[in-house]
Amino acid sequence: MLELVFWFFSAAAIVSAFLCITRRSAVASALWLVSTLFDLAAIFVLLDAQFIGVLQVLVYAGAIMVLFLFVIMLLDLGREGRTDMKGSVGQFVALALGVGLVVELWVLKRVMDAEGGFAAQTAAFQLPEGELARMTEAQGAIGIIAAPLFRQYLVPFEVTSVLLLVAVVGAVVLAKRRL
Amino acid sequence: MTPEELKGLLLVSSIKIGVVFAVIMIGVIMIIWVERRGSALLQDRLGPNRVGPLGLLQNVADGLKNFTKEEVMPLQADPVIFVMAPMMSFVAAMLLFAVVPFAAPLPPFDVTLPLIGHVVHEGPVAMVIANLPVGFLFILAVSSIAVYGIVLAGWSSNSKYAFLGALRASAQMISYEIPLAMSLVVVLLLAGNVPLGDIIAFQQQTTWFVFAATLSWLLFHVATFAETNRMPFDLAEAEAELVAGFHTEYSSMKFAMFFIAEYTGLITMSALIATLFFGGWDIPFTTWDEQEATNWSFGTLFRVGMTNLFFIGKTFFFAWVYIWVRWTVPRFRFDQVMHLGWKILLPISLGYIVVMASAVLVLERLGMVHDWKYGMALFAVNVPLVALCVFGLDRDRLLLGARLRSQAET
Amino acid sequence: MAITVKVMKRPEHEVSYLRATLKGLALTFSHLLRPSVTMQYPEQTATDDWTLSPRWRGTHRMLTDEQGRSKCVACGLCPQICPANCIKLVPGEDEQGNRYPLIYEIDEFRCVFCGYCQEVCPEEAIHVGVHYENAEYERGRFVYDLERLCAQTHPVSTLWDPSDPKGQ
Repeated sequence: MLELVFWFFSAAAIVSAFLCITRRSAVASALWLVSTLFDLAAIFVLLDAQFIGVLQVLVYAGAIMVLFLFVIMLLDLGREGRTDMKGSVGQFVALALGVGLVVELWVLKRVMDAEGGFAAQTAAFQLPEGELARMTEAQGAIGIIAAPLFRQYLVPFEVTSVLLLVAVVGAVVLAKRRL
Repeated sequence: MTPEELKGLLLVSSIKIGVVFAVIMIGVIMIIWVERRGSALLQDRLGPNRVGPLGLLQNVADGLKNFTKEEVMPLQADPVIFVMAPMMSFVAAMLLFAVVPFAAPLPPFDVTLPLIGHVVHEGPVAMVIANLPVGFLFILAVSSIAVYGIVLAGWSSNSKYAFLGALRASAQMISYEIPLAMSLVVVLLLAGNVPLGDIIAFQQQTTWFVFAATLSWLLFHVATFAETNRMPFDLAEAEAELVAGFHTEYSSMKFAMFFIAEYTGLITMSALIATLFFGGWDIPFTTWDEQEATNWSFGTLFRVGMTNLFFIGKTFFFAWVYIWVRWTVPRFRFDQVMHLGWKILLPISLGYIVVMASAVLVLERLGMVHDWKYGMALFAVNVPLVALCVFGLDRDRLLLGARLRSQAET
Repeated sequence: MAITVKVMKRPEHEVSYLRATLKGLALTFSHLLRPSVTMQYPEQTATDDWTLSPRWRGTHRMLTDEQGRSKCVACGLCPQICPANCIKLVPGEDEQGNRYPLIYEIDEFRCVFCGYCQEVCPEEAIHVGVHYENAEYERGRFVYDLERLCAQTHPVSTLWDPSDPKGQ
């Protein structure tokens, strides 16, 4: 049952992502990206990571993509936008990069298989079956994220927030001519 | 999970979804009726009183009219998105209610029903559609999705007015989502968790959060006005300037869906205020409503019914406050809306988090248990803060008036 | 060029939003308890505070004599003075030499209800009426002919009297 749901959302995510990069209309493309984000949120929830799933919707689909949409609408890119890749040189470079990516993935898979496969590689990081659900039950969906974040990883967390602050300050400096 | 339990869960869930959906739709009709009649009374009029007793069936008649009206699609509108936008608004508004508990839990059951067979439910049946561990974060997430309906409606209509309305609405809703979420951080600080059931339980243990987090309630209430696009924040449809804003080009049932979504949002936000700050289904000054439901006796059912009545009563009261404010306060200018959101509500809510976090820390260090004294101690912290906001800020600094603007320009 | 706004220099302590809003809410709430002033129209055509003024100028009425004939002598003054040009009059003459209207029609759609026709009429025949319920199913029905004008029964308007400007 759960596996069925997983396959459904995975398929939906892949199809949406594909449509996102192939649609000509910028607005349609953005909406397909929103759909992808929703499917990913559903997969997070299936993995018992409800908090991450909700944040995915709240931050990405609810805030960032709305701003994207905003900008697209204000720029008025039109329905029949041309392709970004100008000329045969650009197309060749794009093709080469794409092939390179596929080759890279293939090599990674070979290396992985040689070292005992995906499951063996990631066993160290994996919680036992149902552990996350039990922890959510005990500490709450936010507690299991918040406790390590604010105790073990406090410094990286604060550094990240400073990074965001830098971005905000930079945006203000760029936007305001006279401070 | 055994098949019997799964069946029990599915049965209970589908009944709850059906009942809540029906109650919300009826509630929407009632609230629109209250809005029309109430606004009439506020203006010394009578309001619609011809269709049915007291005009109660007026909205049914309007609904039928909307069903039979012609659907107009503007030239060069984006047909798919144009049709999708009202659905998005509608679904987002409906989804919101899924995490709001509406009564005390029902006792567990173990029965054999015709057609369905043997069904079991272990533990009390929580009177909420989905008792998600992420609680009100779900509400924030879904209400941020509601922006899409409005933005896409405005964009796909291929109309200047609709587009301007959509731009205003989205800017406003994104801006006010932040104080909305920030004011809830204090609730999270106090209750320690996000599921609304836990928040209600904590309020039963201590005091309602309207005392323990008064300022948070004020901020939340103001932000919900903006989130639901109600007066004085109805810039999205500002009929004096934008015809009807984002739904200018919509007709018949597609328009009605926006309409229903708006009023569903109003009901949900009222229910949310009642739940987060006024104890939800809690009956004040008593503890008999908080007993564990164990058996199917008349007392238990009566208790569930009473708590549900109290919840509906509280929700209705706040819905009435929305209506009352709408027919009292004029609309803000757009720069005033942005000023209020970003320069007043956001700093206050951030500062309030710091103050309340320190207060909670001090109380924890003092070793106070979570009872009514705990809530009252926090109320003592809140009183001067609220007084400061009401009397300190209210001297021409709350809204960007002409005087302040002229000072800013010179 | 920017629009300049006149800025009121009010003292700071007088300028408030929250308290003013609360005051407004109290005001609207007090209205909630007041009786509503709506008149239930089709059932109720007048209330204590509101009745139709005797000087109301509504749809026309032609007065008749004892034999039920219209008082009109087809002098032609009313079509002459009518600013909206809504009166159609074709005069006729009988054996005794009395003039009477062959056709007398008023197009109520064109009429501006100024009441000049009543003022100018030497025979006090044509009047504007104290009447407002004049809905019809067809446009054509709004051209009132002589028969219809005579058949009207509603009270006629009392025109403004310069010697008694307040109507006492």
